[in-house]
Amino acid sequence: MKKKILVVDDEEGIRLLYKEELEEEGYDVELATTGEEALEKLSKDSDVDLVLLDIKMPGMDGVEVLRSIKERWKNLPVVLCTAYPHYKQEFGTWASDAYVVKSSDLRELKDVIKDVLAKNR
Amino acid sequence: MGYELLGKIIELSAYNRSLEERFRKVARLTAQELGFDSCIIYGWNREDNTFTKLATSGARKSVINMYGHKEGLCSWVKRNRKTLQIHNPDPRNILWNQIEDRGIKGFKTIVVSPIKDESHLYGVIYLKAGDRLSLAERKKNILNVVARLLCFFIKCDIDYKRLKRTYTKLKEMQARLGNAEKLMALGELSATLAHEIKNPLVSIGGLATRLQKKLSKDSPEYIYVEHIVKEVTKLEDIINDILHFTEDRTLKFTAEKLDSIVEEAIKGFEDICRRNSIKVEKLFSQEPISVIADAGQLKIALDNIIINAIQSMEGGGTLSITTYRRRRWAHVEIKDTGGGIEPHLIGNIFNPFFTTRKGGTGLGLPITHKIVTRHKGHIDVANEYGKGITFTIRLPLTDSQSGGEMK
Ligand SMILES: Nc1ncnc2c1ncn2[C@@H]1O[C@H](COP(=O)(O)OP(=O)(O)O)[C@@H](O)[C@H]1O
Ligand SMILES: [Mg+2]
Ligand SMILES: [Mg+2]
Repeated sequence: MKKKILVVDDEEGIRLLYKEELEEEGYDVELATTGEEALEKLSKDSDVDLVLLDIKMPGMDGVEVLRSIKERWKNLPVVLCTAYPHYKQEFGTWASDAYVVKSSDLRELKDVIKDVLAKNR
Repeated sequence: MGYELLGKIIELSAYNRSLEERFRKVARLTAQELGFDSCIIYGWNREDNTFTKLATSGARKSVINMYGHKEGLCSWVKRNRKTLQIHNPDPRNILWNQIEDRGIKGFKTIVVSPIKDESHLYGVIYLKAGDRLSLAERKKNILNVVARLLCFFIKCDIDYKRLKRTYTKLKEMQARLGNAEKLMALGELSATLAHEIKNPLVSIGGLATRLQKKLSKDSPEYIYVEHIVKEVTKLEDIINDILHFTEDRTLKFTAEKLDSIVEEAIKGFEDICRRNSIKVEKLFSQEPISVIADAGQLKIALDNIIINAIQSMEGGGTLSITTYRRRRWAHVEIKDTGGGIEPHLIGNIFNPFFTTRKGGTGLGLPITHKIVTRHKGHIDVANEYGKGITFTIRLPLTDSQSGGEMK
């Protein structure tokens, strides 16, 4: 069965890029523009297998969203994805399952998603 | 008698006068007091090995401005470190004991006394009289004390100048620190900018890559898009550099094997080296070296040095990487044969944004420096212009290792 990924990012270009690339990898992709929208989608749609979460967003930022997700769906894996290389450590050590620095080369992101899904099977 | 002279000289030290002025007064007072026609004070100049006239008083004839270190009576006093008193029976004569000294011409009595302390000679007092004159023991003692006081003046002056130099340097450093603050502010600004630019850049690059995949390899469009992708990748690298430089993360230190971190760093560049005919020489320490480090960060620090080395060897060369233990330090030496950097620029290479490369960010070495410093380590640079540069990173060993090394 296809795995479903929820991509949360405020940037339209990024959402489009991730959607197309991940669909090509064989995933179902859902999109959310804000943290609030993401939480709403998650409460309605219980078959999301992984959340790909931007950190810097207007309104609720990625760290808050991460906290809410882990409170409500403890076992739902979350991959943080941001422009800053230096959040990596601060967040990598807790709560999120992985951390990826945004890059136009998506190979690392795809590898990480595969690993995290394999671990959470 | 005599004590007044010394009293007056001591008084001179209390006044805020220049060394030259004090010397002029001392020369006049000494000549008067001891009954000489002329008194000249010479200073020993260590840099160019000469005695130079600092002050003169009395008769103007036969005043020599400078003696080389092997010339005249001064050189005798310098060698023997004691007072020389001679009588010149024929005032036309300029030779004494095979030493030529035009300064004695026209005088019958000459006394030259060293200005010295236990370890150094600072100059001489050169006294001359037209008549035959003999110095009583008491006057000799007074002359000695005068010489001591002059020595004291000179040493005070040296200290004063040193203090002034240090003060100037401190001022300069303060100014530069201000500069560094500005650079940091600039860095923060660029970090914000970099972050804003990064997101659109990722979508440009990512979507362009998708477009490229859909185009046939021999269409002109493919080549246009290929350029876009390449340039975007370059911009992303620059932006990552800026973000890395300004980031303020906490490091995670664990005991690490130095060689595996170094090996990991080199591995990433083996392909590039092969393609650029760069020979890689690895000389790892026989014994394992353990350091407390944030492995990921330390690798970035090494990467930046290796990248620079590779960039400096465009036409090929040798990259040597050596690790070893010495005293309480672990060492990594990275040496290239890329010709080094012009000596007047070497002082700048750790400044943020300093670069001589087209398309360089000037952030590689500052990042390395920051990381190494946060590991309580040091970086040394040996630049052989025309040959190459050696960077040496020194990191403290883990306690257990430095303990074992102490034996
Ligand atoms: N191995 C080297 N050989 C010659 N020059 C070097 C070397 N490493 C550094 N430099 C000089 O130091 C400058 C700063 O280096 P760096 O901080 O890494 O910035 P960048 O590589 O972006 O120029 C370089 O532009 C170059 O002039
Ligand atoms: Mg964002
Ligand atoms: Mg560099």
